Amino acid sequence: MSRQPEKLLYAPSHEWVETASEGGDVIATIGISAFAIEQLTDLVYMDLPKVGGKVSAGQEFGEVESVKAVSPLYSPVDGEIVAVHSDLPNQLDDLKEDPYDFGWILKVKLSDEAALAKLLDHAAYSKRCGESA
Amino acid sequence: MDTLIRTATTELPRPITLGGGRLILSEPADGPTNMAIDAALLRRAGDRTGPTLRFYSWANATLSLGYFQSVAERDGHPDSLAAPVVRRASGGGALVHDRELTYSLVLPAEAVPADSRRLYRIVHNAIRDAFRDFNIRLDRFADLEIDPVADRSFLCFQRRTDEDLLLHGYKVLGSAQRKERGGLLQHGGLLLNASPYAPQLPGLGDLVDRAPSMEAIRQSLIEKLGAALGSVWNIGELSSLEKAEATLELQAKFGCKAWTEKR
Repeated sequence: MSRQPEKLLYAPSHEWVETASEGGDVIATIGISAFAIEQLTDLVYMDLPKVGGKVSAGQEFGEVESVKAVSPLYSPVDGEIVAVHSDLPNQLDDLKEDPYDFGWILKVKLSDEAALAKLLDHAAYSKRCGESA
Repeated sequence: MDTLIRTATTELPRPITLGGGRLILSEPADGPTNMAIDAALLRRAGDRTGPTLRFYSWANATLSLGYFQSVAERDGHPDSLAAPVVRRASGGGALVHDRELTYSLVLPAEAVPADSRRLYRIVHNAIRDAFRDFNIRLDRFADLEIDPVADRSFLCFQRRTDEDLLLHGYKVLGSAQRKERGGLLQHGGLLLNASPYAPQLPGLGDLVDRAPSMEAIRQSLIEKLGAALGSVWNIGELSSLEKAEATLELQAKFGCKAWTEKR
């Protein structure tokens, strides 16, 4: 099953979010948008958090390096990390090729859904990217 | 009282009309202090509307690791093993900071170009301009007909990326960046002379007959960078909030052995 970028939500800081109900919880899957990956160009390093950690909307959860520039990754949601794509830092070329399926980074069990309302739909996000490009 | 340094305009590309900028000329400091100050300037970048340009040097020869480098990689460069080590907030390879002029440039988020690689180009173009006035030609690596090599050499100055500046084929200037929500930090070093801690890397003074003094270079860079960024520099110093932030950064990160050796 492929994720369709048009159906995802986006943070202005370029993380994408897909939500799904699992056993009564809402689980958010998080990745980096294709636009952001294109802007970053050659990713060489990525640091990710551990399962069990907490994230808050707008707070850093990881870091990436490209072209000698270190950039933070920001969580778009609040909750507990229930899965981390731990192979990803060793397969950054594949992330570039497939940011929406292979390139998932975290799964977060939401503690509060309020942050979702602040995210952008695909049209609004694309418009924003077009303005900043 | 602040000193006003006016700069001429040029046709170099500008990320934005930055307007009033702050120029900080720091006293020599140790590695952790220098890195903590740069990090603090970035952390408080949103306090200001204009850029901050800082020039600094190192109280003692220091090896700085790129943010993601492993401290264990030091073993591959015996010449620098006796130098103290600090981890930078920015990426790239390790640098021996000894006989060099170091700059940092911090922009608030509104002034950061969408493609931050442009800032490497803009700053390095200005530096090339400055050296042209000294009749010294610095080449941009991407403009040379040399096949790029995918290398992960331990030392930054043994690596090559497009915007690096070379003199007679030797890299003499490289820069690196860190981005945060509030802005962007770009810092870099101009190698003035080879260091005993990295004798394989010649500096400016080793490559030309008559190298300009560090003071002359710095003054020229101030003028050219002002022109390139559309800024007028006011000499200033760290704010009390930046000093407090630098103290926190020093204690939690750059002066902390565990953080420096975290990978």
